Amino acid sequence: MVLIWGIPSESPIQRLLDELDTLEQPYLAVSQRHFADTDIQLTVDSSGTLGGTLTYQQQTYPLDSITGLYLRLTDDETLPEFKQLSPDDPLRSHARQLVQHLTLWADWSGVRIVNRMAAMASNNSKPYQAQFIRQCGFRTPDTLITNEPADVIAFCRQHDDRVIYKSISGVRSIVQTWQANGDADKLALVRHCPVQFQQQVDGFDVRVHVIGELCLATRITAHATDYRYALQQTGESATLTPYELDDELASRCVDLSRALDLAFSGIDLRIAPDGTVYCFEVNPCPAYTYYESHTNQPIAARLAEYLSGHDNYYRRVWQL
Amino acid sequence: MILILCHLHDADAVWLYQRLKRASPPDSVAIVSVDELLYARTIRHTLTIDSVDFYIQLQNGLTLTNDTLSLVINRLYYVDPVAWKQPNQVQYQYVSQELNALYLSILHSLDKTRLYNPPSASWLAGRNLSPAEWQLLGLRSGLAIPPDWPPVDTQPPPDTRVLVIDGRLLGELPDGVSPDACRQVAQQVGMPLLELHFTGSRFINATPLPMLHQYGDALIDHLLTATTHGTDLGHTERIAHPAAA
Repeated sequence: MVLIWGIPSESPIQRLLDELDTLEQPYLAVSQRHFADTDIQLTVDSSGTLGGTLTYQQQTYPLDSITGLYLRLTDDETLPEFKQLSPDDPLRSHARQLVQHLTLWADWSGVRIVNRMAAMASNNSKPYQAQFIRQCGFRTPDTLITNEPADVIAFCRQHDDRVIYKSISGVRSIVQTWQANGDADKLALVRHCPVQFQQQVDGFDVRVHVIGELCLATRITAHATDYRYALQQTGESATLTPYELDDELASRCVDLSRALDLAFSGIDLRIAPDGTVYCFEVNPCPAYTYYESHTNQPIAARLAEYLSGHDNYYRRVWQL
Repeated sequence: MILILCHLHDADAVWLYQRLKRASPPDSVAIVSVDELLYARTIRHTLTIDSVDFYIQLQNGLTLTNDTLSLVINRLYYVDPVAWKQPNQVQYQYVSQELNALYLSILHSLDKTRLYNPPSASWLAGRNLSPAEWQLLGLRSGLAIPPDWPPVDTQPPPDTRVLVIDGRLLGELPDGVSPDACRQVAQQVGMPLLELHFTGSRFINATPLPMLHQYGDALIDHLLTATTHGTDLGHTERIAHPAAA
């Protein structure tokens, strides 16, 4: 049985459930909002093997009946049911303990998981993640993080004033082009908090979804600095089309995902005119439906096959 | 230079600094608090096609770069930009995440063979496991754990502490506890410095932020020796700590 844990109305979860239905694979979708009706009891035997039960809406399931797990958790504090609790309501500690037990079981039971909570944290620091990206043979744009205005000026000169800036952490930020003249008054602000600047790289964007050992790539054509905000940055939406990766590049993407301990990832590439492949970052919890809905690429279907350990997944990996 | 990174209230880091300083020539040991990092005069972290580097100059003039560090004792676990707390909560949270992301990357860029301990993506001090996870890892490594697993998060103080450092054990191991099992726990989490806690002979918890003073001269000797063994990676200025050379 595949266990899906998150907010079932979110489109990545909805699409996954659709595809599990199509495959006729058993699953249980746990809504994080129903934490009051959910409990996990954990046990361990003398050899360290985890066991226990999951109770959800009065039904109890042995944890060893779960073979695949998809996590798409949101912060408890954002759940309406959690927010309305008084500060000393025991349900608050119950909700926290529930996530702790879920995380513990997910990380240590050996279940096929998308994705481990600890692994998802790599996206909390772009330069940290970039060091893994480099180890897997991808180029990353020249990057400067500094609180020194003179460093920014020198970096801009070095890159002919073709520089962008964005958050260092996983906080979602709109990638912006640094305007050497127009942004000069902002320069002093870097003294208060270091800012990440990057060489602007020409080329086209490719989003690669890695599912286990399989890749599905999407080419994005946009004139915006950040294609996710193409409409507001340029007045034109981005165009998305399926893209064929060569075997070597696909293999590097799988290696990168594995190096970050991610069974499912969204890798952001930019292919430069000379063919150099730059990698910007790896999303550990991709909202893949954006790409799927524009291209009809079977991302949810492959994910469902992977999570359920379906024969189709292995046939595709082994190209049978 | 041996660098100790710590929080202001970290008495064990201060103890370590004083003991190492006593055994070392001037300017070969430094202690830097998270607040000094927060207010650094210059912070520069670069990733280019050839290298990952950093340059930090503190307000007191001390300069930190990868090439000048022979050993780093990392006792940072969270960078809290307290100065941002008052003006705006949203900005405080943003700056907090940005600075933690920055120092995670800088710490990760340090040579792992000279770093006690490497950070993890979720915690600057290393792997951030709950007592239940430590006990599970201990059990799988061959240590006995209390029968009432999973434990509550708040653990009683241990009656025995044992330090694993580079596979060596410091402190007195409780009867019947396998030293190899202790080493395996540290090895599994990729932390060369790990303190294991026991109640009786049962393993209850572990921390990468040990009570360093408990290990006295043995720890100081080990750290000074660590700067001389197998550490010539092409940076001649980092071959040896002067006290041990």
